[in-house]
Amino acid sequence: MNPFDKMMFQMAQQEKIPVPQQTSEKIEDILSQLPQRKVVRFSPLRRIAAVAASLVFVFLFLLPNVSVTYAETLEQVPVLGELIRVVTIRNYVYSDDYHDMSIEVPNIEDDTLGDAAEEINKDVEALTQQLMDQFYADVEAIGDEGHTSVYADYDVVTNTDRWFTLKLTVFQASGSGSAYYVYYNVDRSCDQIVQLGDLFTDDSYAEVLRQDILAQMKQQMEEDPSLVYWTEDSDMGQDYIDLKPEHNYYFDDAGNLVIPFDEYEIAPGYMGCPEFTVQRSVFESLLNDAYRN
Amino acid sequence: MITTNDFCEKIRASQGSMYALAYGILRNQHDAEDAIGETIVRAFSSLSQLRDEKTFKPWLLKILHNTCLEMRRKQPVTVDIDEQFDLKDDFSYQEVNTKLVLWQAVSKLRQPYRTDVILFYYENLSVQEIAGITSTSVVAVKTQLSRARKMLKDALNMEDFYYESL
Repeated sequence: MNPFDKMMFQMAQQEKIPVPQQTSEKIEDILSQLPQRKVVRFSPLRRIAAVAASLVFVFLFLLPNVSVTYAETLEQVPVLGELIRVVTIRNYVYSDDYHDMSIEVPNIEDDTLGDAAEEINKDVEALTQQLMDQFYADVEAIGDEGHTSVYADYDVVTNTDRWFTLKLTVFQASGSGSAYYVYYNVDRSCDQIVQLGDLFTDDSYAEVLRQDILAQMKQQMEEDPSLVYWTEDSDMGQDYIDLKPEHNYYFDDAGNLVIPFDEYEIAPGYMGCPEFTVQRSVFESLLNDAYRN
Repeated sequence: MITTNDFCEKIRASQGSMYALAYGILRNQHDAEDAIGETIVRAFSSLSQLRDEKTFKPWLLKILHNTCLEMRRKQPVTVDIDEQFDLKDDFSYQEVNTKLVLWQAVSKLRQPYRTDVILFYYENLSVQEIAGITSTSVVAVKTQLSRARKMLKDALNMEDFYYESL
């Protein structure tokens, strides 16, 4: 190496260009919203598992959807019948050099959920259609002058004798990204969609839950200085917890209430979409009789 | 297969390199952030096309380089930003206590020399890797780096250094 290059390398190392804090936060913001990639490893055992999974897919999901006779036959088998009634999948995919779309659509096919299933299915269909319409409009408008991505996925968060909770995750990106969630909670004792406000006798639940979540936020920030929530003690000067009757929620398996928040609702974007679990003992006395143990 | 967590770690490890390259081309913190954001989304979307994880950084910087050039093409430049650029007035570097002597000299270079110098001296990439990122030939990169060295020596008043060292 010639002496000039050697000196340039030394100077460059000493003058490493710092990344501004704001830029780092924006990068973290985008990273926090990326969907999980599914890892597939092809070891011999996993190949067998993959083949088995393919057969399960064909017999449990594909055939029932293309063959009414097969679906009716499957309904007669108790265990498989239970599985098949919950959710089936449709998948919309589009990909070119500039645009990507992958939307997995849940469809609840369980007669015991009655009108609730139909209501959720219609709602999901409308949302899916809206996402696709927007995506194709963007493809048309942007062409090869920019990039857009839409990913939509779902999870069955709770599936107990009492509660069925379906969670939709939507991630849209065009330069920067944004993520949001939609939760549907069905009380299986009456097959009705139940909103947060419906659980309680009056509005006092909002303040009780807010205080509990606020205390959790402060404790977490004390334990880990890298965490930032917007509370009245933070730089933003006030807390942003506003638990309206239609706010997202679900019950965990122990019957505690989990309150998820959207991005930017109570924290900077790089914190993602935080969730807080409120112990049942905190709100039990405020519940409507129908929801008490 | 690279998981989302692996991808995020690789991006975090490369954010300094990404910022230096994007800022070097676009000369503006906000544009650099936009380019980096778009690059992350593009890279994540096309991650399955990455054949060898070891080449992640050059692969990522190539996407970023292309993104920056696209942005430059789309944004009409009404003033000569090369002449307007003044490191001291740029708030993104106000926190820097050290005198960025080399960076000031590098930022006055024209393209493609500026990008070559950033990738070569700051990012320690080989001329082969730089040729891949900038979609040019190895010979062209070597020629450009040779000219860039002469320009840097002039800018840094280091002509004497060179001859004394010989």
